[in-house]
Amino acid sequence: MKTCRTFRARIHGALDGSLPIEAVFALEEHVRGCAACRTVYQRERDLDAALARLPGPPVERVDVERALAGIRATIDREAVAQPRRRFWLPLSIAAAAAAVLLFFLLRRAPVDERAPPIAASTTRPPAPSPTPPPVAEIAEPPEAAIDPARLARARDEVRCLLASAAEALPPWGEARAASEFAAAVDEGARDLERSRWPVLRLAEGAIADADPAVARAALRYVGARADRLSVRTLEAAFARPESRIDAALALCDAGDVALDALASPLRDPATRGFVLARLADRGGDGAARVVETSIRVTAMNAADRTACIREGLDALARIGGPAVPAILRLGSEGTLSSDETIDALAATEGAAEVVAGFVTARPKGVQDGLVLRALAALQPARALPLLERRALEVRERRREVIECIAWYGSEGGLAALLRLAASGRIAEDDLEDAILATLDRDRNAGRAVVEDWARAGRRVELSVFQRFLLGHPVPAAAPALVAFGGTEFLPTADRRWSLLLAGELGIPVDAELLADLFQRLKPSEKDLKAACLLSIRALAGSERVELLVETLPPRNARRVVAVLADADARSRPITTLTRLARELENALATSVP
Amino acid sequence: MARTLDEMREAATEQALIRRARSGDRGAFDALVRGHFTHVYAFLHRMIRSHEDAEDLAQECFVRAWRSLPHYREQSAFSTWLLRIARHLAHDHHRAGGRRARTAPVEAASAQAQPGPSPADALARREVVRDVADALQRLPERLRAAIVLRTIEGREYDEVAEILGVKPATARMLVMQARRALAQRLRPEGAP
Repeated sequence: MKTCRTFRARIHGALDGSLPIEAVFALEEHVRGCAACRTVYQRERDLDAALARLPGPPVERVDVERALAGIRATIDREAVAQPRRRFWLPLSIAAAAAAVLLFFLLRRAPVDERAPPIAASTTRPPAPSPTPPPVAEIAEPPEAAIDPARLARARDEVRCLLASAAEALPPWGEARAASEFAAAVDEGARDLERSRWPVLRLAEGAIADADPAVARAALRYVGARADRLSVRTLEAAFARPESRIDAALALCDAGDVALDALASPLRDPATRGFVLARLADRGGDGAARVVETSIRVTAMNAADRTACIREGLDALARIGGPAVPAILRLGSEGTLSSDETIDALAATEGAAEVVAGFVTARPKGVQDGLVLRALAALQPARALPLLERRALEVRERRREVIECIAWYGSEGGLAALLRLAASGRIAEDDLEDAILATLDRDRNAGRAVVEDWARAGRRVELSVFQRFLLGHPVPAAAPALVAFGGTEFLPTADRRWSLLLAGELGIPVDAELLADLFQRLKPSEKDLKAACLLSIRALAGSERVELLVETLPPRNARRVVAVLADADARSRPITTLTRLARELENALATSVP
Repeated sequence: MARTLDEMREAATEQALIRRARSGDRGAFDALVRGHFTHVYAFLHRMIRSHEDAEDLAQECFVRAWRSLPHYREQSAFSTWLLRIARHLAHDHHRAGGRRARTAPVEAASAQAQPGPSPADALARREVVRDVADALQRLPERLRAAIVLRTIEGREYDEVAEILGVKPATARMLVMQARRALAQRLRPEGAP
């Protein structure tokens, strides 16, 4: 008896039309009696129906004649470019083979040419000729075998071109100068190129030329036009003291293909500085990676470790955002200290934004703790909501994340911490220190948060914050308590006790916040006004109260002053505060019309 | 499958055109282009869902066919050979990321093609068509080619295999994989 699995394996064939009709009948019979297979069968049929409903290609938009014209034009263009394409096919293969052979001959040439074997090279004077010799005589493809005499003439031609173009090459030419110089050489070598002489390889042969100007020009040309094979030649040239500087410059010119080969110039004190500068100008991930490796190596080996690291970090700072992962990796593995890492990031433009992106996913080799420390130092605004979400959702390193938020401080950091407390998903004990530290660093942060949330009507968060302040009576809480006193939608009793507590905890400067609130309160809010006056008196003395009540009608002002003077005279303890408040309320009440 | 007399006559004519084109007769090649351009374009459009790109690639397909005619040994049908070139072009296009650049919206086309009896039905159908088209575009290029050639264009497995450069059994497996992947992508979240 066949199982559902067997039948299901046949569904595709049945819909596809490739299953014998008997098997289709058997399948359909099974499907009628098996609900699970029926579902699968129906789903496959639905898929077929949906595929059948897909709109067809808009063939009506196709203009075959226009397309045909385009095809003809392309074929014609190619025919013009390669008039004897089929005839040339075997020859082009032969030419490629010849080029490979030529390459190997030339690769060995620099070693041999210490005493140049080619007559033309030895007879030519070292000074560059202003005009290259005619190339017509060598303008035939070297498709079959290389005639040593023609090869010598081609090499001599390239040497001559290099020599004449080298006059325009400044000694410390930047990449653009090298590129312009190479373009000038290419212009002169057009006939050679047309004859399929590998100009780059011929130039490589000139790197060991006896004439330093030619050798230097050859190096810079090869750098500007380098492929992977040329890089090895340039590395070999770097190993020779006489061509070290120009080879390093050429490797810099060579771009991505030679990035890894810059390791040696970066180790050499003679070339390190300008190679770093060139890498910094170049920028990008690749340059950052090379500088990172060089810092790692010099940190281990260099005698002047600090200076070398400083140079490398300067280059990374100039590279900017792409260098941030490199700096963090160096810090994570211990090559840089935590402080060095943070300083380097601070000096790197755009680092804060890049580090913000690592809150949720960081690059390989970068420590989470270091990212958090960097965020605490750099404080990119974008990272704060990410940190808040992470603290809420991820238990790992939660304490460090909360500390990091606390370092943000000010209104944003405090609001984030209080939202975490209001979420109920993090124990208040875990947040206590962070919230208090934030309030300590910025006394006005709490007031700003309360005013902002009061405007937005965020009762739950406000109530959590107020409860926290009442449970943690610290001087830094006073401005926030004053703000609670001014929050209209809170119960009056809560507002009054907030104001009285502000008077008890605050410092003299908080009296001005209370005075400001006193002025804004409605005449009917006598109890709150009384609480303000009591707190002002506690923080700034009776003189400040007398100054404030000058705005009241004289009779009320006199009564307020009298009540407070009487309280002072009797040295009433704080336990009579309620009675005093009541008396003040009465004193203020008469001022209401 | 036995071929009809008309098909045989047509094939003979096509063979003659191919032979002439191979010897450099541009007129014969033009006739081949006229005969096959729409089919090649249709396949490419199903693969990359962009009229402009499909038209450009179809032209490129015939340019390459012209270049490669000397190597065409008539071991498979000319149309199959063309589609094989077209499939390689679609593959390259996909790798180059061109698909994302100019993908045509499906909604409009499907709405015109399949009006429903009521606005609600039309909307639901349009959404299904759009989902299927999107899921099809998200399939790996090889699987997409397999299901387009077999299920949508209705080609025989031998021909699908020729175009994809695989054995017929592999082509069958690819079509099956494509259907599974498509069903997986279209299944609502949480469905078994």
